Amino acid sequence: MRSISRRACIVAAVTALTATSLAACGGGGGTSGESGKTFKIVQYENPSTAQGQGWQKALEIFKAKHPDVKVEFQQTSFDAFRQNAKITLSGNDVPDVVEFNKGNADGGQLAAQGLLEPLNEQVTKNGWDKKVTGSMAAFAKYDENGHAGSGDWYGVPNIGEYVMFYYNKTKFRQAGIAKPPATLAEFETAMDKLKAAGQLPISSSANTSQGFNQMWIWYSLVSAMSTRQQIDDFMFVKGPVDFHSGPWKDGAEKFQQWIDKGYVGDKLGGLSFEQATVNFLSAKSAMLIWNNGEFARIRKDAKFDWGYFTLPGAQLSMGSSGHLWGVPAKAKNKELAYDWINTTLSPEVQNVIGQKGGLPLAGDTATISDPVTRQFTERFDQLVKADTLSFYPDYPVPGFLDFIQTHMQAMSNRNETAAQYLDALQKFYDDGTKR
Amino acid sequence: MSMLAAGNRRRPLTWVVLVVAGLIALVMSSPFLLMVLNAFKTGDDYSSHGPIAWPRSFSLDAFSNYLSLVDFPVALWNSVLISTVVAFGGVALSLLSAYPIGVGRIRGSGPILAVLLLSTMLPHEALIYPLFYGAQATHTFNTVWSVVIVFVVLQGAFGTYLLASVMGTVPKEILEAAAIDGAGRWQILWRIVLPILRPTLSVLVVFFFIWTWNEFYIPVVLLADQSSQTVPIALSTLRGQHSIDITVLNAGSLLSLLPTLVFFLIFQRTLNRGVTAGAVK
Repeated sequence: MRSISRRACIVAAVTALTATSLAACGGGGGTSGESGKTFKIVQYENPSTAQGQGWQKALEIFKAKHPDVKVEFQQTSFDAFRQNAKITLSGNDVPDVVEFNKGNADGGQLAAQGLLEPLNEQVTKNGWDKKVTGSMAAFAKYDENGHAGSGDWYGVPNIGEYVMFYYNKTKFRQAGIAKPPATLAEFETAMDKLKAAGQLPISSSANTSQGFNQMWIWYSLVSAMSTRQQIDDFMFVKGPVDFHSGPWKDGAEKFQQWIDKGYVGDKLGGLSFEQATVNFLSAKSAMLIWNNGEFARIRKDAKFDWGYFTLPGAQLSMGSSGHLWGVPAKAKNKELAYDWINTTLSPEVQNVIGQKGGLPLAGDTATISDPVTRQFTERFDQLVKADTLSFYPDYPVPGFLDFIQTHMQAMSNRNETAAQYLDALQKFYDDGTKR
Repeated sequence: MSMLAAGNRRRPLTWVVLVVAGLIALVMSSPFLLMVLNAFKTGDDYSSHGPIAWPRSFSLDAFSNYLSLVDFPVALWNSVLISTVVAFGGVALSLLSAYPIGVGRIRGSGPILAVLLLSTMLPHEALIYPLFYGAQATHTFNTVWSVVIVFVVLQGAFGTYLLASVMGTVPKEILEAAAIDGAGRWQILWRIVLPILRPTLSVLVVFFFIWTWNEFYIPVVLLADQSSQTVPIALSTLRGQHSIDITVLNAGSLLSLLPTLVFFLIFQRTLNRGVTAGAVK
């Protein structure tokens, strides 16, 4: 029995490679030196990303400032740290500063269980609240139940992110669309034209593992019709949410229409976001919904003229702050940890992140030399300033992501209607938030 | 002549079998081939033409990227060390503990085997907290030895179960003959049981090595530090929340897979030799 399952495992490891087979868990515990001489940072950003490069700069500055400290800059993975954060942070030897995932299911639980140090004093002292403001600060704060949006500061983000539609200008031109649509109605007309020209309007995906595109389309539609108050009620569990009315109902119904009209293609159940991206890049679709995470790649790999816009005519758009820096409650070098966080928010580091297109929260956008990256960052600055980012939909309740993904797949396969989805959503949300 | 004639008569059927076997082999190896295919592509080639297309140009970029992102020599050394020690240590432990159960027929051997089997059936998630605190208490946390100890025991439990039942099939006559000739318990183990079981033991060594090599969950918790990470953990650091670099991941997977492949090929030969050498005559 065992040998069979293990061999299946070996085959799976060979097969999958997508590392989903490897994605069990992981951690960042640590050895810190005897006399506070070793300072350990655990993070999971790929060093080639904008933020990763910014942190290399931060490391340089930090080492120069603390020449006697041995700095260990450790690389782990998002899934590994996320799933093992609790166990590693409750050990004897914890890192001095860690990157962690925002949201009630992750950061909220770490904060509520006392595994992270409250940062209020440092935030005011160092003026971090001047750099991280509004919706960008919402998921840095957690109350005693681990609910985001209010309470003490436990984390500090460096960057933000927003969701947009990347589009293939050539395909738009061929379908007779002169300029990017400005309203939701124009957007739908444009998609009809693309359909008529034999094009797939939006490249999407709905695999329960990593097929997030459909969820983002659904939530973008909800956000487009929502007020700040409606999103905050939902996100921060501030007031009862009636999923059978308002933007929730309209958004889900519009989403179903889009599926039925073939705007997002079919057979999405097996596709992941990576495959959706490849479909867009290999010119099989006119648009792709994704966040800034693929900006650099599309710039490098797209063989066609392309542009991007956020969902036209939307009141709110999907997006949020990035992952957070936090200080474990058991960390031995807290002062150094605060100085590290402060370094990552310094103009030198933030502007490196900005130059590379990483959407820094405290950078000076005007200093970005590349015009495409500058415009891209300016659009983000606008959304932050107008306070119109609606976060990601899976934050409020633990286990929400799997729930939503399952229903997105069912709706995409036409096994479920918008009404059925809303019924299930109401129940899951109410149970999860104990209303 | 007669052999040739026999070959001719079987030819149509042989061809059919060959084609079917070839097809099955192709299907079985397709994930591996797909990985090799994509490991040698450039990122934009992959993006523009997808995973199944033949590479427009062969490139080693993905490999150099992988090696720059991950400290592969360290991870490789850790993996080789852990897997080798566990493979041989686990088999040695299994042999010693299976002997009293399989040959000695001690009392309560049934329940003992059941308990051992149970431990191999438990999901690792259920064991992780005790293992974590145990590693901390013994100061082996963040060193390869924590994982070595855990897996010698876990693989040993399975090995004991397996070897005990194999030992049960060793003809009693041989053991009795040895005892009459004046062999003690140790001598019987080393001179009689071990040679008979050699093929089984070599199979176990290969399996323990490969299973341990591919372990992810327990190592990722116990080996948080980068300097003690194993190859699968290093590989997992390539994946972000909303981004994934397929060509680098494929290149990394290919590099990570080669050692187990090499190990398997080397030991497959000794394994075949072992079968004939160890047979009961």
